[in-house]
Amino acid sequence: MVNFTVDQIRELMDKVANIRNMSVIAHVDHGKSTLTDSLVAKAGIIKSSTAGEARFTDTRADEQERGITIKSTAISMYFELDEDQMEDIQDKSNGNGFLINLIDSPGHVDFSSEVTAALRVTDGALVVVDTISGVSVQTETVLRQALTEMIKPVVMINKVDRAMLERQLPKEELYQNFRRVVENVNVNIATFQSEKIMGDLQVYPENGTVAFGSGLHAWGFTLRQFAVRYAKRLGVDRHKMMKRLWGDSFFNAKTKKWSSKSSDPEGKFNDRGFNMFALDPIYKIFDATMHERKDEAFALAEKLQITVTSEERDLTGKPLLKVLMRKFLPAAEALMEMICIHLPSPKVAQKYRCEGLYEGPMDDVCAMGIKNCDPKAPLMLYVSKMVPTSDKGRFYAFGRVFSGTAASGQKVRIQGPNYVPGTKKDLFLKNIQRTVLMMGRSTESIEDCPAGNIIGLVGVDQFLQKSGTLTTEETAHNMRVMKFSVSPVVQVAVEVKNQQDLPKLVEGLKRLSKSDPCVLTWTADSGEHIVAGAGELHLEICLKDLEEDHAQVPIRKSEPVVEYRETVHEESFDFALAKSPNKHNRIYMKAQPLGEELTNALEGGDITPRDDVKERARVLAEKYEWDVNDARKIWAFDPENAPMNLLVDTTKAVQFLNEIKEHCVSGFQWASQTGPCADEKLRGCRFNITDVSLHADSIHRGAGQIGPACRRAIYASVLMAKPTLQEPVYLVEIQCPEQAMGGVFSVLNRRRGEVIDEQTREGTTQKTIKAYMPVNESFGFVTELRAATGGQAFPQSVFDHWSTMGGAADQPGKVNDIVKQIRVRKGMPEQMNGYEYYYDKL
Amino acid sequence: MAPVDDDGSAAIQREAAPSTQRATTDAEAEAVYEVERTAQVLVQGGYLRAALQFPDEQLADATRVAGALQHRVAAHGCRVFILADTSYGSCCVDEVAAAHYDADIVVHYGRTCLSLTSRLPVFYVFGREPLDVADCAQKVADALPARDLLLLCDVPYAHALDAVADAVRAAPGATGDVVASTISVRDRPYVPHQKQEEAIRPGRTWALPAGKSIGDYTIVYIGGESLTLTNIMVTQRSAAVFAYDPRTQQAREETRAVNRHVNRRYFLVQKARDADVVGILVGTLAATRYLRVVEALKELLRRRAKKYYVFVVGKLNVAKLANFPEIQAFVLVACPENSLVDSRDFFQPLVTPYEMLLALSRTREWSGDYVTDFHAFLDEADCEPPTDGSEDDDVPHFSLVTGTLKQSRRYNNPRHASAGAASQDTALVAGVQDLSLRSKNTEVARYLGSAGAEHLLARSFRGLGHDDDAEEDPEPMLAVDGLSGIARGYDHEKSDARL
Repeated sequence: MVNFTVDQIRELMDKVANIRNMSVIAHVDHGKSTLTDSLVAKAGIIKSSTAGEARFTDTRADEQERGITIKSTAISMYFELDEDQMEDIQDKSNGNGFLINLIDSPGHVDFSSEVTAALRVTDGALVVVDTISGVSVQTETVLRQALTEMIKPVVMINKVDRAMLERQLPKEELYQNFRRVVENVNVNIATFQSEKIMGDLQVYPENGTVAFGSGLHAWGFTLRQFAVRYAKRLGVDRHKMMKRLWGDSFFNAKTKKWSSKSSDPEGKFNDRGFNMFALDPIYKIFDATMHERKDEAFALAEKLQITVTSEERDLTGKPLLKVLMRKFLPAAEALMEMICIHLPSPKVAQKYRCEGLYEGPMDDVCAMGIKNCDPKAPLMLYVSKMVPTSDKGRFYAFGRVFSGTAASGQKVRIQGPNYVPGTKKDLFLKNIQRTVLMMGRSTESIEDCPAGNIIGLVGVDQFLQKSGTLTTEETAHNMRVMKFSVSPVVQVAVEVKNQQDLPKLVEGLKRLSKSDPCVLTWTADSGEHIVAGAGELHLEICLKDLEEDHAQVPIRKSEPVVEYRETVHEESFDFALAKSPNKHNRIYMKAQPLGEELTNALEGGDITPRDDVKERARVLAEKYEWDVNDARKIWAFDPENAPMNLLVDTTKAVQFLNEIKEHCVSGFQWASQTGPCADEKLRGCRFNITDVSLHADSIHRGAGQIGPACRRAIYASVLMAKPTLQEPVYLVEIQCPEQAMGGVFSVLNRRRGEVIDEQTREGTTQKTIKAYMPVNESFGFVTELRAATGGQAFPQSVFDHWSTMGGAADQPGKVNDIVKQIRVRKGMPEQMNGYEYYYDKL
Repeated sequence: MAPVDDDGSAAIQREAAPSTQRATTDAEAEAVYEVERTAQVLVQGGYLRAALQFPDEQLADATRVAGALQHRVAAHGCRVFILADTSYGSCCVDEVAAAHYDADIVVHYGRTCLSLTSRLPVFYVFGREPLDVADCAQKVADALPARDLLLLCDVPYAHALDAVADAVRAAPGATGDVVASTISVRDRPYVPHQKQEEAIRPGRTWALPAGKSIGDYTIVYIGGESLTLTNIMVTQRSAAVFAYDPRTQQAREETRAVNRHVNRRYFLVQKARDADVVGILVGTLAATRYLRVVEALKELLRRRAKKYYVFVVGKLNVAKLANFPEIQAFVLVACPENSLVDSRDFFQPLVTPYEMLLALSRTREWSGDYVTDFHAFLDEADCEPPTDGSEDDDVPHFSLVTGTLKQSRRYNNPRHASAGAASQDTALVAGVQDLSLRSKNTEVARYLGSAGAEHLLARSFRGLGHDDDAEEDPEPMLAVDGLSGIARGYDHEKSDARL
């Protein structure tokens, strides 16, 4: 049974140096959950014989069924290290008990937001890589995310058993395979790491930051383990030994000498240290057990000091192999060692992470508390996601205490993402009802939780949408909002089958939106309830949850649709004129495209409404060739955060102009939300107010006159500037064997895919294809691809960019067809209005 | 309602469209406008000043009718007037305009929402539209064999409704129950929570056999597409609604449009829920109990600590309402047919009192039931439990419009106010929510929870003398010549060859 108590854990929570917060991240199907099992088993939470099959951290029924992780799951475990392991830990620790807070995360790209939320509350990451498929798309993505969050990685090369049993790779080839994987990982790390702050984060097997093994069979090793073993036997320093076990260091069995060459002067082969000392015993066990030479196997076992029970002696083949390997090289041991020795404790990590985590000044009391991981400083707690409780509709707020101590009954300030220091916006003063320890499927109540720990909170869920900052300090700023790598671009409309169930659906939508970091739910102005997710799979899971858990009423869902954006190809061919309802005021306007580069800069937050006006004008003028005077007179950005459109005042000497600015902006904001073509949002448009004539009497140029006029002027100017649509485009990465390429290309072709890159994986016939594909064409893509390639190709799609469609929305053609479709769906007249409809004659 | 994005010509054309009902001869006018019967009513009631209210499209006939009527009643000392330009919808009786003439009775012509009036007696002349009874009965019987039917009609066809009912009953294969409604404008005194007998809304009554509910019936509506039909469809939860248009002699089932409509209304409720500052628009001065409805709304808003303003703007248009940008939602108190305004073009959502009630209620959720009748609304509003002012009040709600949590601002908070009375100082210090305005002389003015002041501060232009951000241009502006000429083209624009 569980070989630790909650009290033991609580005690350890105070010893910050002995805590490791880490997440397990990887590409889908590389074996995260399976691997996690072996740690869970070692902690005594599940039986070790089921480790690798139970997938304890896949708590949901559908996770078990589908065999993929959907939600990240946290679990706290207690381990004890032995003496020589303790020696290798560089930071000072307090006793040999260690608390590992582990978060198992999903690997499918659609659930990347879960990974982001997990990374935020951890300091280290165990990156799992499949020996055979190597570093894949999602491996790169999560690695990049981890490094930008300043998370230190260690690597586990998984599924070595497959390489040996299925591929029958000889030792040297297996070594080369390992080397390639490590190199690939390091290339990625080198690109994204911030070396100045955290030092070199690349992983080296000879330093013990890479482990090899099989999650399914629950065995694994680091070179450190072998080094320790041989160091004792051969009487050499284990650190020296470790260096010899990797790379071009060869051992001559005859002379018992190490050399850097693979052959001795007499032309005889030297054995690579890794092959000889690490792989050899493994290969021997494999060979003996898989070829039914049990006696030999048991003899080996004895030599390796493995005790075999009499029951186990009856096993044969794979089960026997599993038992022997697990006893010889338990995976949990290797992982635990790697985690405890090489991943940072919160105390170490928060020193360098503070700057990236906290929005406020780096010298205020909260920042100091975070940097020192001080349990006596003011509370700073970041809630990164919500975890459903057994109580329907209520959630645990899941997060990490970065500073201070969170306690049951404590009164805290709950600051939502829109909180502005010094105001009451998005701020609540409430009590934490209870603090709980998250233990995979269950929770354990604890009294309080000091800095550096991961915790679940009861009673604050109502005040936070998805994430937020909790603090006790009045001057505290927010912790930085998480940036997700995926965006919700696929949407479906849902409705209840019985109108009476509507309230339940609404409640369900609210819960759904809370339970997932990425999903969005809202009501379109047609009254349709929209659920938006990152991809088809994500949406499928969300809708299933909505129907079965959150709303529990029968639901009808529409076909998935994508959001479009409206934009313009060129500058308006003439000044668009619109008069106010009373005809006493007129606005002259021109629309022009902002350009993709500038739009991206705006959306990415490189240029924001909060920038200094003069500074911003300089950037616009230098980088984007704006007129400096125009650049200083940007009236409005829409939307405020991540703007897509600009309203610019280019008038000369107009009276009363400052009075109507407000009204123009409100008209502009409205027009940007619902474009003239298909009621979709405008993107990448710049509107220049070129001239305005206003009634001399202020009562006749009020909001009611100017707002509608400005909106109409914008519509007319868009329609006079070759309006078109932008569609969302996925970046698709497909891995498949060479012979399946034909099928992949034909499917991509049918779906307007555009191949941008094609690579062969070194040493294999595996191909990696990168392509752009419109999201609109992606529905059913996975199924079709599987069918066309006999199930050999695996795609991963992630939103990449908006692509402007050729052709004009108001001319017959593809764009016009899409516009018509959208209009019909939204219950609008099929034909869009021409610019004459909005344009007023003088 | 002219949409914001057209040039208004649609409205002009619509009003100018010739009425189908226009009488061409005096004889026809007498028949269509029931001059004889009207005269009788006026004479028997001993009325002396009668105001005639015509809808816009029938104003052309007004003089002819008035002339004929005056001719008949002059001998009894009665005088008739024509009311021009109704303040609100032409379906509502314009009591205020009638009062200007000191009228003692209003004769209302044409389509009406049948709202009850409070001050003046009203005589309705619906006009009689021709109806092909046989064809109507045939189409209805064919489309809906063996179903329980409830016949409703637009007012011009009321005269033939019983005939249709008989014909439908007589049709071969008609086994279901057929109930015809009658139109009546009799008022019942408002008693809270009194179950309204058989009639669900004023104006139309029907008696269903015992043991049956409206859900068992299919409503057959005789008349063209109109607000009445929409209103019936959203308020009555019958099995289905089936419409027969006598002009085109077409019959069809009405479903899809109403779903869209209800969905759209639902969206507006959600927007209203997010609003902290609400405008109560008085859209009628005639319908009985409109004042009680306004009071009920005020009470509801006060309880939820929302700020409200009351507006009377006459006929609605976008420009009028857009002049109040600080209002986040309007609730329109008007007759049932006029309150369902499609507010797509308005800057702010425009909802009915019942929708506002839904939006304000924490416990109540919309199940698709709909109330446009004042009587029913008052009942519902009365049921609303008073908020206990507990902690729960500031739990944010999930806004379906934005898909995020919305924290409500609390204005005129009673707790706040009492604290202020107890100690002015603490009230000033405690109000972090309140805005403070610091002028150049470092005087600090504090607006305690004032929605208007808050809005003003958020604006970039605050009017003359309030320009705090005048650092950029500290010099006072010189007076300059304004524009001259007329709006069609100011003087300086005449030479402008731009367009």
